[in-house]
Amino acid sequence: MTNVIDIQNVTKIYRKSHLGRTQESVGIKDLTLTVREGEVFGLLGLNGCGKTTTIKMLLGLLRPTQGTATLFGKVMPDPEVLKKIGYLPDAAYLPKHLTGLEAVTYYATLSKIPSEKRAQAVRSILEKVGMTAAANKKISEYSKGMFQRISMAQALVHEPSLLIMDEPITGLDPLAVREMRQLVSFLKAQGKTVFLSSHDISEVEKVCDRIGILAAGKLIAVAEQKDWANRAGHLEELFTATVSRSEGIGALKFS
Amino acid sequence: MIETFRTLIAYTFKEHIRHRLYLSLFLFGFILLMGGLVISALAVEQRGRMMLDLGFSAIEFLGLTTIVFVSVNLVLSEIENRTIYLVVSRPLARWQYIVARFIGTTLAVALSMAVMALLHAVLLLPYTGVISASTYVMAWLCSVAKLTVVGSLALALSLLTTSAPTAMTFTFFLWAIGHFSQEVRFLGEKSAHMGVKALVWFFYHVAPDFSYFNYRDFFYTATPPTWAWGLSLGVYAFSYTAICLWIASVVFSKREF
Repeated sequence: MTNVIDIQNVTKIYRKSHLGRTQESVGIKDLTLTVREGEVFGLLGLNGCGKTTTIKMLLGLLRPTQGTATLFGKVMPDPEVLKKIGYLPDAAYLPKHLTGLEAVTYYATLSKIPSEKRAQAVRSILEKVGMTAAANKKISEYSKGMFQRISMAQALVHEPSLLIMDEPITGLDPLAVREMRQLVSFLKAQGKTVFLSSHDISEVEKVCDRIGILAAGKLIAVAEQKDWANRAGHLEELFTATVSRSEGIGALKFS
Repeated sequence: MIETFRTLIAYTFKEHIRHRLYLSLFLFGFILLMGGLVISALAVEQRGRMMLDLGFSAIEFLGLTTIVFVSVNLVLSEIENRTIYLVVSRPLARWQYIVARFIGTTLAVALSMAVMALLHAVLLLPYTGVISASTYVMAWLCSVAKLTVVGSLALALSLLTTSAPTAMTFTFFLWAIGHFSQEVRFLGEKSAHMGVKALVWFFYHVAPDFSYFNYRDFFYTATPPTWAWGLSLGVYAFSYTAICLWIASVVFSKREF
């Protein structure tokens, strides 16, 4: 199988300058990671460990300070590659002045879906995410669940080969979490590649083929499904044994 | 590419006209124009002229404040709301985003100015002979050209400074200098201090020269300006706007999110 995502020795250093003083902080450090075609890969880590930084670099929203990150063999942001990617951010960052239908049509056009196929693609995805009835309501009037559905629709409307999801289940109710799991299984069955980040171990182990554990910007371990399948608690043990809290936060001592 | 442009322009246009501020602007414009109607009653002989000047100034003032406020926040608000993530992660060049968003904004502001100008023209109807329709339209076009230049300047400054209040302050500062270009140049030439000379020289060349856009100066003159004047004004406005949008696009292309 070919590599869809290929990250080689990538380091991202954030620099902030104020009144001549420059502060540096490490986003990710010497990260090497590959994701194969058709694979569901989960990036597991605590808050602030570099999961979103990794995702932003894959999308070309950030540039690596060192190393190379390629998607489908191209350095990002590459317009041809961006056509093949769907991105579901950690929150529904949608334009509130549009209706659900207008928003999905807007993103479908920006994703270069040909005009003759666009209306059908938008109708179909709104149907699939269960938003046909509410499609003509303004996004500002939507509930959180509806936001999430439209966000999902914008990520999938152009039938991407690779779906990148940043903490897709954070803040979702149990029913929505289950639906998200169904979505990942459906995409996998269709041969799509899924890259997701999360700090929910139990959910990640249910859907991923492989996981990478990220701590303080470094990839600490990579595990395959066979490592945790039929071994309850193994992934959690691996996770807690490898990560430690960053930013000087100590453990709770109530025991 | 055309389709991407059209979509982004329509998106921006809808964003503005569906904003509550846009409706407030109409209300405020209506109040100002009606205020002009009342105040002009003081000038019994010259009521038409006074209504023309007050109304036109009100339209331009509202257009200016709107375009500065909207252009400065055009990209910064999308960055703050993070809606930008879903746009720049799609296959489009960043300069397309900047140019299309700017065109959408200019169209929305021009529409508001057109509606106010129409109301103003209706109020002026009883005062025949004050101004011809073609002169009024030319003056309105010059105002739109002026606001296009100011808008592009505000957009470029918003991306250079990354702070809305700073960008607004700089825009109004350059707008003020742009209205007194010749005076500023004269002051610079008269100054004995080399630092002041250099500073004035810099601002004189950076700020747009708005004296070119004052078609109102020809309202009451016997000879209207020639087409060559109009053409040179068009070229000037287009070039200044293009340079500002180019700077904004370069800055935006290098930006990380």
